[in-house]
Formats: sequence, structure tokens, C-alpha cells
Amino acid sequence: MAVQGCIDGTLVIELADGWSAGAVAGRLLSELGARVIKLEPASGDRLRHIGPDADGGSSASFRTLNCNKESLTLALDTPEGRATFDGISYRADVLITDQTTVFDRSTNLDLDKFTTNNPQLVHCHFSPFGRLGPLASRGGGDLVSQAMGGVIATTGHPGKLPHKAGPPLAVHNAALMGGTSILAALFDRLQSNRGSAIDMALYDGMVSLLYTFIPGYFLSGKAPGPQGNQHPMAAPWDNFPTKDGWVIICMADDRQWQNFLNLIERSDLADDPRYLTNDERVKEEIRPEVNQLVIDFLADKTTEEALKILTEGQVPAGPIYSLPELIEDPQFLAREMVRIFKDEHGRPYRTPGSIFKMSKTPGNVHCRAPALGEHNEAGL
Amino acid sequence: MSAPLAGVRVLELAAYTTGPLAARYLSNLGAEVVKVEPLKGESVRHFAYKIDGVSYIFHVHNVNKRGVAIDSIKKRGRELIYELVQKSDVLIENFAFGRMKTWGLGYDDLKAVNPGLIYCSLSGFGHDGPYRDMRAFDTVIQGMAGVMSLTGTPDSPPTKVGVSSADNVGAATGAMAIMGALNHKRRTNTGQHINISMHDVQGWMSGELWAYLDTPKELQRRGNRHATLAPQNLYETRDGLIVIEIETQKQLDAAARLLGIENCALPDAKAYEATYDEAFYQWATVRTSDDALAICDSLDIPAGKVQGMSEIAESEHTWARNMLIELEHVTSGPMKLLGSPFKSSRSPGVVESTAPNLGQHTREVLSELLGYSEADLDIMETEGVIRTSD
Repeated sequence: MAVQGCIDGTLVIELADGWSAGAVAGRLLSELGARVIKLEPASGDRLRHIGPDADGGSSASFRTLNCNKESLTLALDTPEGRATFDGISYRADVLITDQTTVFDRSTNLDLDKFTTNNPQLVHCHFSPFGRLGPLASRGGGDLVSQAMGGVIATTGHPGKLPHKAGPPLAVHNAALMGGTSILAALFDRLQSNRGSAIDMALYDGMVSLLYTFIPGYFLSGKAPGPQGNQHPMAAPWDNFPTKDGWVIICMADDRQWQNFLNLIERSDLADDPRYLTNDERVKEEIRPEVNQLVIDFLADKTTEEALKILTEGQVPAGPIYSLPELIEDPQFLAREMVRIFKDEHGRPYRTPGSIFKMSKTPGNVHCRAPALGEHNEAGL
Repeated sequence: MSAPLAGVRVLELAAYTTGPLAARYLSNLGAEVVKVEPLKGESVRHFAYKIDGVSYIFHVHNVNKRGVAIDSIKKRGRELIYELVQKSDVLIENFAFGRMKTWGLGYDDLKAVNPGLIYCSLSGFGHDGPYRDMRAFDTVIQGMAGVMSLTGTPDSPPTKVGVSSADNVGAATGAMAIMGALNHKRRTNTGQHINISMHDVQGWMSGELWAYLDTPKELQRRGNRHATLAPQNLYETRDGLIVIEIETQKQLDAAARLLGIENCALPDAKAYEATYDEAFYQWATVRTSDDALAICDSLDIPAGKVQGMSEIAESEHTWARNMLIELEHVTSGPMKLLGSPFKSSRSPGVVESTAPNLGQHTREVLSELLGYSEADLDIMETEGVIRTSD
């Protein structure tokens, strides 16, 4: 029996090339049961041609992202293509558009008309800065959004040039927020029978993540630079060296600090007022002292030894995994987060499983990514 | 206009970030959120950046919510929670796996009370699998999900994302899953258990790089460069830092024209990354950030400043999009708070009231939703089951 999805029967049209928030949102909605039709130019989504395995018509990146979707080629710059597109958007429940894709395809789409023509349509437009505001039409993707949204300024090591989050944080975060908005609109529509036009800005998504930094700025007038691996409001909290690598240790509350003191047999410090509360431990002059206690504790231990002791002692800690280690991690595998499909040429490839673990309507990754125009014949 | 979640009631039994933030997102979409706190208050109240004794972060996370203080470990307190569950559509919790069960508040316990309940658990590693009992915080999750190994430069140690990526994106995942479940509930009138793992979500975020799993040497952190696209990088200008991000052939052609470099096909640009980088470096270093961005803008080359908190907080765009708003707090006065990222033609996003004082709405909620009299509530307060604000 097919897995039941929470929005089974919902038709989503996706006009979003590349590894964009719109394309990620389309994938997420497909996992929840939507039928997602990806509209591609005759030459294919640009992502098909970039990175490893691009020679076969669907690169490794494209295959990873676009599982579950159908592919329909459409020339939006011709009158016929435009007419087909208008017809499709009239029948769809959800239309996803992405600003970079709309610019790139020279479509001159009137973004306002979709919900006017089809008042029941849920139209979500993804863009770096949104459809309103002084920066509204500016271009960009993940990197520009991370830069303008404060992620880069706070990532990296003090005194050095800052850098972005390695994974496309702005894109994935906006995909989830846009997806949330779309589902809220569909929920509303079940009762009101009205659609809506959603304006999802990657910038808005990034600013939403600044709930520690913005208050700090407003209270102190100081703008934080790159954070290293410490937490501005908790200590000890860092990526600490061991004999053979690194271990991350995060003590957010005073009980964990006491647990740590037990582990290192320093009960003499249990009542020391300099270290007693997190408020004290985060102070500029105290933090190095508590960090030193951790460094001394780790000096003669391997990462594995340290993790065993810390975990048993109820101190939050973890190793640093590379991606090859992640996809063999027992927890990640137990949660079915690594799925394997064969592409249209029979080449096996991996893609993340669904992050939506739900008891009645689990997120479902059920099908490989489509070949270019694979669903042209079937149409709608 | 009508917010999409008008009429939906969410019960929040949560602490720190993931649970409270997921609940706040639903409130931005119009849901009514009742936040249940222990009598001593939720942990983040006691965090840093205090305003009149309460952390500013608590205020940011808990706008729009009504707050009730209940000792849910006491039998009578637990019964009150059950009664509130009967009146709720959604429950959000983010305690360590097993804690809710020990309090008699696990999914099976509450499903018996309200079969239509959507019960969303947000935890470090999820409620199944070998690590489900492990304690976890944001940086641990970022480390164990590969994010840190991919963040930073090749010659720096693995680096966390400055913002709490695992907490934040975990919260957004919870909100989206709940929205899916609410659609299912409105269609079928059934609830369910949602079991989100921050570790799953951070691992999922690196999907773009899974293309390189069979060539692991490519899976190194690369500073501000992109794995497959070029040119993309950060450049120093005369007065700051900018990024340039090329994603399409048109943008690449424009960059080539600007720099006087012979153009090439987008998939081939990565091979010329060093050439583009050097040219942009030379180009940027003699200009101010504003001048550089104006030129890029006029040529449709995507670029942006590396904005710090002062630029973001003072930016006209931030305020124009209501991503910063000011509300009047009943005792602490005017307060700048984060706005709603959810904007649609049906609703601009709801941000209408400041975070509750501890126990501020205990009386209001318990009398309005459960019908308790003032006398009942006085007794419960005397017995230490509830706390009301003074």
C-alpha cells in the first residue's frame, strides 16, 4: 500500500532551477504527498550540467535534489509555452517561482497575475530580498543571503576573515519557511477556499536566526565578529583538542558543570563562586580558566576515550564527522536518512531521506529524479 | 485579511530554542500559543542579556504567547496539563528523550486524552535509534552532522556556523511538519506524533555536497567558495567585505565582461576559478563596498555586503520588511523584537504582543479555557500547583 501523505492529491508546479530554495521546497512538499511537476527549459535545469556526473544529462547534484518530481520541458519565451504555462498554473494548487530562475529564463512573468487568474492558487515566490522593500529586486542566492543576513559576519575565527556556513543554510532555511507558509495557506484554503500570494525572502529567513546577536547588539551597542566555536552565552562551550583530534563540549547549564567537576574529580571547585553559575563562567576573564580545566582533562585522552567518559558523565559532547562518516553513522542510518536510488541510466546514487518523521503520514522519498522531459508525454 | 492559523491552539511545553521558536513561528501564522512554564520559569528567562531580570532572548522567542506557570510534576499539575491538552490541536515539546514520559506526558499518555492531538517532539537525535538518549546541544549536532567539517577554510579547524544552525533549522522543520499534520488533521480529523531530529536536519542540509561522496577529497571546507559553481567568494573592498555569487550563464557572462575576461560556459567556470578570483580581488580592493555593489547591481551580477549586526539593525530594508519591530512591554517599556518571516496576501505575519511575564496568564487561561473559578485557582496557587503573576 502506498504511504499516505498529509497533502496527497495536491498539485505543485515548480519554476525553480539550481539548488534554490524553491527547488528544495518542491522536494519537501513532494515528500509530504504532493505531486510536483518541475518546469524545465529545453536545455534542462542548469543544475543538470554542473558538478560530478554532469555528462549523462542529470548531474549528481540534480539527481540528489530532485527525487520524487516529474519533469516537463516548456519554452517560456514562446507564446505556445506561455499559454501552456498559464493553463497549468490555472489548474495547480501551488505554484513555486524563484527569482533567479525567472530572470534567467527571460520570462517577464507578471508575478501578480497568477493568484488573480486563479484565486484558489497558493503562489510562493522565493527571492533573496523579497518583493517589497528598498532592496526588493536585488539578485543573489545562498551566499549573498548569508552575507547580508549576518551569518558570514559571525562565522569563523576571531581576527581572521569570516566565512559562510558550508552547507547552503540560507536556501534550506528559506525552503522550510516557504514550505511552512505554503502548507499554512493550503490549510487556510481547506476552509476559506481562498488561495494566497506568499513573499518569501531568504533575507527574512536569515534575520530570523539572529535572536542571540541582535539582542546583544541592541543592549551593548557592540556588533559581534566571528564567534570561533564558542557560545557567546554559555561556557565551557568549544571544539577542544584531544590527543588525536577534536571533541565538541557544550555546557549550557550549571548541572552539567557540576557533572563535569565530578568527572575530573574537582569537587573542591563545586562551590567556587567564580565558576558556580553560567553567568559567571561566560565572563571574559573567567572563560579561559574554565576552558583550561577542559583542556587539561583532555590532554591525555583520545577523542573516543573522552567521548565515552563525557557521555557517561552526562556532559553534552560529540565528535566531528565528515560527510563520509555521517552517511555511515548508525543513528543517521537507523533514521533512514540515507536513501539509494538508481538514475535513469542505472547508476546508483544517494539522497537524503525525509526529515519529516511522522507516525501517520511519514515523509516519503519514493522515486529517483526524472530525466529531462521524462513526463512530457504523460503531461498533466 | 485573516491569518491562516486563526483558531488553532498550540500548547508549548518547551525550553531553550527549538520548541519555543517552532511555537513562535506558528503564532506568526496566527495560531494561539499557550506556553506552559515550570514555576521557576523557563530556562532561557535566566540566560544572558537581561532586561529587568529576564533575558532579551526570552522576549524574542516568546512574542504572541500567553504564559501559564504549572508544576507539571505534581499530580494536580499534570491533570491541568491533560485538561489543556483536551483543548489544544498541537503540542510542542523539546525535552530530552524520555523526560515527557516520566512526567506522564508522553505521546501515548496524551493521545489517550485527546486522540486528535498533533504531538511534535523536537530533539537532538530523535526518539529512536542508538543515540536517542544522548544529550545534545547545537554545536554538538553541527559537529556530528558534518556541518562543521564543511565550514571554515582548509587551514582552520572545523568551524561551527555562528548562528545556532541546528536549533534554528530544527525549529523551522518542526513548524513545517506540524503544518503538514494540520492539513492531514483538517482533512481526516486525526492527530499523530511528529519525531524531528536536529541531527537529521543538519545532515540533510549538506545534500548539495552528497554529489561528492565518491570523491571525498572534494568534501573539504572551502571558505566562501562553492563546490561546483564559480566565481563565488568574499572580497575585501577599500572599506569592508563583499561577496559575489555567480549562479547562471547570464551572470557569468556579465562578470566576464566586467573583468575583461574571455567568457566560458557556466559548467566550465570552476576550472578558471583562480583567474576570476584574482580579477575580482583586484577589482574590489580599489573600490568602496557601496561603489562595487552599485556596479554589480547595474550589470545584474549578484553581490552583497557582509553585514554585521549594526548594518542589519539599522538597515531600512530590515525595518521595511518588518523583520525588526518595536512593541511596548507592559513593565519593561519599548522593546525591539524580531518580526515574522511569513508574509502573504492573506496575512503580513502576526507580531502583536510581547512575551509573557512568568505566570502572567495563568488565571486568564485556566478560567477561560478550563472554567476554573478564582477560588479554585487560589487553592491551587496555595498548594504550589500553579503560579500567577503578582
